[in-house]
Amino acid sequence: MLYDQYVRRVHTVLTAAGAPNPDDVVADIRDHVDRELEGLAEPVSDTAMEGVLTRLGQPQQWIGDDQLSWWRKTLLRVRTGPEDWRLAYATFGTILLALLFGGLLGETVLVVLWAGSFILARAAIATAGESNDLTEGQKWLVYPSLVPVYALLLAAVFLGPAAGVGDYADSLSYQALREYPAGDLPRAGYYPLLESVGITPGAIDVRSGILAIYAAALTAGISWTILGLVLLLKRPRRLTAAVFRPFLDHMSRAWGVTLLVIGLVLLALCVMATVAAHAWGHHYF
Amino acid sequence: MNDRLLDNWTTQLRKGLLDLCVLSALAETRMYGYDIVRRLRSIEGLVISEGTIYPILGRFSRDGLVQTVLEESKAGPARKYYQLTATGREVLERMNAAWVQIVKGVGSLQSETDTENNEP
Repeated sequence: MLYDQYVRRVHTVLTAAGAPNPDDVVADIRDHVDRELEGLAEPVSDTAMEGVLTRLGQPQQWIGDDQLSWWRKTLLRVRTGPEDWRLAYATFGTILLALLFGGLLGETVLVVLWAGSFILARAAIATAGESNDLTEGQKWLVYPSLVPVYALLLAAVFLGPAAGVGDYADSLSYQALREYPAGDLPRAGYYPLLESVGITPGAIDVRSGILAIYAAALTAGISWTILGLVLLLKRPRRLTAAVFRPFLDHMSRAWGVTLLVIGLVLLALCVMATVAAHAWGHHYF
Repeated sequence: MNDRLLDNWTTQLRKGLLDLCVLSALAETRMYGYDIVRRLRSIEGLVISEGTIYPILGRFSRDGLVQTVLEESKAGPARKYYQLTATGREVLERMNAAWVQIVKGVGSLQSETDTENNEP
């Protein structure tokens, strides 16, 4: 079984690589194995056979990359591996299918194929080696599947809370405008908050956008400060690196410090804006 | 990084030398493929995968450097022997000349380096 698989593999690799006379080479290999195992009692043990086949080496090692045209190299890798290359090609093929047929067959198909491509990309990275080191060619095949997903995740984490709160603040101030177009805002609910940042009935339509930005900035400041503090710890950094492999493989404590500083600066700016709005609100508007 | 550099260099070096060594093995007499492998495996560091020899013989056969001769064997099936053609001998001669030149040049470079290193 081992021997037959090996011989089939030799023929497949040599044929895919366009090597001259693959049948002759296979005949020579058979001869070689027969001579090496001459004198041993039959049936030959797996250990003895493995030893001979190990010394012969894997057929992919016999064909130098420089002897192959680019399409033969691709064909060889798709048919025989190594696995990281096969997965890289499968990743790229799946994403091409997603782009070509997703538009025709609907969003569900696009999402499913892209998800499949993403999983294949992560498998390719995992099999690339201990250092998860993709070659330049593999990066071109694998990264298009990863980058959009990671970008969406990062946007959700870093911008999602701020965008959500900003949008909510914007809708609140428009609601106030509709309910109290000309009169004073009541001293209840969220209306004092609007006044504390300088939003008065006459100014809501002009400044509601500023309120949304303020709320978004405040939320971003709080969330980035928290994220920065969390990333100072080793375990969350490892988890983050694992999620965003291979781009954040070398994430260090400095990332947490940077994020923390940016978050604190944003918070400080929001506090200063609040103080200014209290002090100069009506005159300012 | 240095390990990878060294691995690549030794791989390229072996590839170039194997062609020369296979032709050299056939210079004196025709040989059976397995015997060529046994001869070359005794050269330390040259042959990592023994199977490499056979596609090389296939390539040489296609390029007309070697020809195959089938000889009946009393012990079993007919055996295939490889022998150099006239073209193969010419190529071997030129390879040997290039090899001698390179070894001489590299040797003199290393001698100069040793002399510079030993200067007070």
